Amino acid sequence: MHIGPILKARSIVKSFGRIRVLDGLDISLNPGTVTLLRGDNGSGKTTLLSILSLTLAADSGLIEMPALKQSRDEKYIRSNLGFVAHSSQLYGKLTVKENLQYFGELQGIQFLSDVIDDSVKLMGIEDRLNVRVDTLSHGLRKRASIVRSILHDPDVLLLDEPDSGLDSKSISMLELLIEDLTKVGKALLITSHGNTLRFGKDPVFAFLHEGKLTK
Amino acid sequence: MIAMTYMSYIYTVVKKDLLYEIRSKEIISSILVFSLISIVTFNFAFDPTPKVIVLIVPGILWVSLTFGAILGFNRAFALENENGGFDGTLMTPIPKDALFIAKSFSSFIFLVIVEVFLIPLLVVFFHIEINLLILIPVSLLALLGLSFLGCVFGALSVNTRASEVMLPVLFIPVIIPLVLGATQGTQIMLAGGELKDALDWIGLMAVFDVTYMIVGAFCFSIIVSE
Repeated sequence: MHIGPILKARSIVKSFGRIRVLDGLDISLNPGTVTLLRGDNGSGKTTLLSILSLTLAADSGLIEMPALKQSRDEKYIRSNLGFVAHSSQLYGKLTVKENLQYFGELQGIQFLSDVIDDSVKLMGIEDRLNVRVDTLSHGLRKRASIVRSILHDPDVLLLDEPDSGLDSKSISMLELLIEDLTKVGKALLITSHGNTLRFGKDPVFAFLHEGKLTK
Repeated sequence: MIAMTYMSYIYTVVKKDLLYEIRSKEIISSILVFSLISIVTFNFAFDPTPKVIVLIVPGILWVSLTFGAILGFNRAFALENENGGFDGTLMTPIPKDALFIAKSFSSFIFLVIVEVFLIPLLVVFFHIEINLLILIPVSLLALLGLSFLGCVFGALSVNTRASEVMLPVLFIPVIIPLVLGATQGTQIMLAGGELKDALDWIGLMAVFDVTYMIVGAFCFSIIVSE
């Protein structure tokens, strides 16, 4: 297991117009740790996750994965990141399996069919593999989205309100998944408003306020 | 993990786009319906003599295709943004210029399919003779250029307010040299000219295609990062 943070972000600044959402924010995600990010509505939690997942460019700052040889290379960082956003990030007209095959191929996953079969079992959607995503309920889409994010076995998993829209059975599966992932040394950053989800044994709490993190 | 090659990234995205289009039929149908309606309307609007046909049919074909393509690009990127699928793609290690080439190539295939439907209609409506030796290179170069530019401006305008207006406003001024080349090349064909007569225009379009591809890949990478 890698010693020290898996993902480090330093001096992240992001403004939308005149509003500075993130103001020189620093964050480190350590292996085997769940970091629980809290903050008021509009405090910048989703913005921070989008920046860390490299889907949104920061105005300034640095994101790196120190354990990687090319620690600042976006391509390598992307290969080691999983992100569950508010939207499912799946193509509605394709089936769950076609979506997972597409994203899995882009991630260069070996023995993809086997990996998909194993991953969907974790979230209990093995019987929905051949169902089109746009016919799935919100909760099932969320589950499929979680499977997409872990398909390539990333070292870092970013989850933006993963429990929203999930029933108690799905939440139990997600809790189990979080526990399993932390046991094998993955770093997780989770935002959540509800108190329905248990976040591993000893989550690290971080509060986002006025563009900076406080513990 | 398998080391993905540049071509395998392109292949994966194009395969997904084709599958998506087979399911949704939204992009080709929107281009085809608009182009068809334009051509039928022009057919009723003009009562062309054989001399006039040479002058107006190339314009009818390429204006219809260009405006139809604009609708298609709007639809294509709107579909990409549904449920954040495009963001999911950007989360993968695919190089952004490979994504640009892949999206352009998918659009190119859709436009070729539409033109294959339109040409026989033009033959029926306007009684023109087709010289494939000229039409194929002119069409392929024009449609390729349309695809490159459409992908850049489609990606740029999809997140703007009134993207249906924004895309043509950005797209039309830049595409003019290519439409001019395509129209002139088609006109030479209809006037009974040979391939060598159209080579200057074909060369011009090839230069613009290369320029659009290089500049497009660079701009697309910046646009999708923001």
